[in-house]
Amino acid sequence: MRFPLKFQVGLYAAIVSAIALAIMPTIIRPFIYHQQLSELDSELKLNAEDIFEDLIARSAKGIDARRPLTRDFIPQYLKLRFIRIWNSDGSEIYRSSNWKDFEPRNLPPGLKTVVILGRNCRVATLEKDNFWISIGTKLGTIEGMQTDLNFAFTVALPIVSVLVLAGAIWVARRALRPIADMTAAAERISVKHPKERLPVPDTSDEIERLSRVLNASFDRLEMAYSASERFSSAASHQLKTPLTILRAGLSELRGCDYLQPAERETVESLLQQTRRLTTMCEDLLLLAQADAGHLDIRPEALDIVPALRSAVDDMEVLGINQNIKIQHDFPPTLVVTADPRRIAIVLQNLGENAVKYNRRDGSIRISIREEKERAIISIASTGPCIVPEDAERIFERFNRGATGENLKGHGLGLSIARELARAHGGDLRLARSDENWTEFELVLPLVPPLT
Amino acid sequence: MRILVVEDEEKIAILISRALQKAGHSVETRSDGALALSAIMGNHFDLVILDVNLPVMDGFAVLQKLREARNHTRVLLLTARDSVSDRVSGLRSGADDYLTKPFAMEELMARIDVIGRRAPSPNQGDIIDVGDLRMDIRKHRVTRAGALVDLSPREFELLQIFMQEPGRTFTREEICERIWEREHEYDTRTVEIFIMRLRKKLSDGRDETLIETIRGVGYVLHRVPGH
Repeated sequence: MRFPLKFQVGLYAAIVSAIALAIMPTIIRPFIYHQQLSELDSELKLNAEDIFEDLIARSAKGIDARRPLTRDFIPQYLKLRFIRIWNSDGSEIYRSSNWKDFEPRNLPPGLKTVVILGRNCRVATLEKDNFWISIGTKLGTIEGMQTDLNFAFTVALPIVSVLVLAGAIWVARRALRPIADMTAAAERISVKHPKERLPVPDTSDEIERLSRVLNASFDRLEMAYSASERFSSAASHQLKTPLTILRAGLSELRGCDYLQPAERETVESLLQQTRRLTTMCEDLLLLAQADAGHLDIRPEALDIVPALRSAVDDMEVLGINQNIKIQHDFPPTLVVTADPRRIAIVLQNLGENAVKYNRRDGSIRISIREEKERAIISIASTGPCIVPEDAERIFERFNRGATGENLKGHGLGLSIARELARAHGGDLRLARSDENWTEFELVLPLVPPLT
Repeated sequence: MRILVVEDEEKIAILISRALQKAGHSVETRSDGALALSAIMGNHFDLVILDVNLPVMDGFAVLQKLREARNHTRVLLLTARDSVSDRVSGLRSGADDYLTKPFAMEELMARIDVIGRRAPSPNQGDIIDVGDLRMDIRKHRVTRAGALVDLSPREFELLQIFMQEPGRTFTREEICERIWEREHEYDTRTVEIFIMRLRKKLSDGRDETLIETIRGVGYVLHRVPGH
């Protein structure tokens, strides 16, 4: 399942910050521990120095160095420290009362962590002027700090993650807002609104660059599009003049009295070819207009049944040589929303196909039904089946599928019929094609009920 | 009639002029809108055949200027089919008639005859009578001497074309274009078959033809049956 980008960004940010928070104490804790320990060590050394000074002062007064010291000798601020003092022959001259449960032996000089009364303690041992001092203190504060740190991070983890999640979603939404605007604008850009462009934010960031690049692409697309549209439209307009001249000239020729019947026949067939060319030109122009999105459709409330009866009439005559039987089943009347001239073209094209791709002694069935505010006109004919691979290809321009290569017609009929049907808000589709029947369905909107 | 042909495509102008001259009209030609306008303002023409697509000033502009100057010379517009807008088809442009390019020369001549009142204008009412034929366009009913003739939609349309202009000869291609608006995939034999069917239904067993075949040209509906 995919989440919107802003949630993904939020989620990833939250996960990353949670991992960072989890890793951080393992880096910070030893660092702080060692920092505090070295501070403690230098403090212990300074404490020892103070005591050394007192001891040296005591010796200067001539007091025997082996004489045990009293508790009063220890400065007030050091009374809580673990302290043990001995002289160079190894005999102890002082031991603080809290120095218990720990082997009272002379420690070597240096710093050491030992266990006294079940607690971790730091002990510094120093030697000066034949006096030895071991001075120590509990590591409780430092260890408490470590525990506190752990606790702080553990508590912070979920809170920070949730905050980061919310914050990142907010930031992502803000950052993506131009993208949402761009998407909306891009959706508006279409054949109908080719001039529409993406908004270009004045932010000098990636979004601005993206909008500019995309807009440049849209410009090029529009140019290519209108160029091809102009080409088709101009080409068919340009062709009309020579066609008019051809037709006028040929019909003048046909009117000449001295023509032999054979010549007259040739002229007649040339005229007919010229008219076919005219139709083809008009078809190309129609497709160019459809591509450009300004196909001129003037829908009105139209009873489709007479148009269908006319189509049946045409098919009967067209199929007369192939002895094609036509069955039809129409209601007395059915009103659709359609442009009568355009729908006539659609029905003619479908009717011609139904005859052209039929077989000898074949049949055509034409019927109409209503379905969800739509009229569905079905034209089914016998004849070769359209293979599934061809089902969409037959609607392409100048394409008559594998079975129609050698037949008459210029291969625009179905694509024109489909364009016209879709321009009406309807559709033209191949409903079925098997060895028995090939059935096309023309869908047209019914006339909306009066409200 | 004195006719002015305004057409910037020289070859088309020549072909139209030749056909008009053959039909006994006197013809002048102009190749752009401005020249045409000054020619029409300065001379009397019975009819102007005016192409819409013209250099300098297009056909619509010429027409508008003419009508603004209260010049009511009759005008037949030549236009491309895809540009037949409401303006042209409703003849709100002030034209008397229009024809789409490319057109059949016979049709142009027939239209000119109608505009020049050489031929009576087409029967336009809801009920048309020709001889003993009566057509009710609204009710889609045809009777011959009072007896109902059952026609298919296309047969009806075909008969309507003939009955609106009895006595006029229609070529197969003109009939084809009137009924199907465009070149039919199949040849004009389709028209022949419809004519045959129509004749059969109208004749009612009698040995006569209301619709006569003019060899090499087309068909005509007579007011009085021929044999």
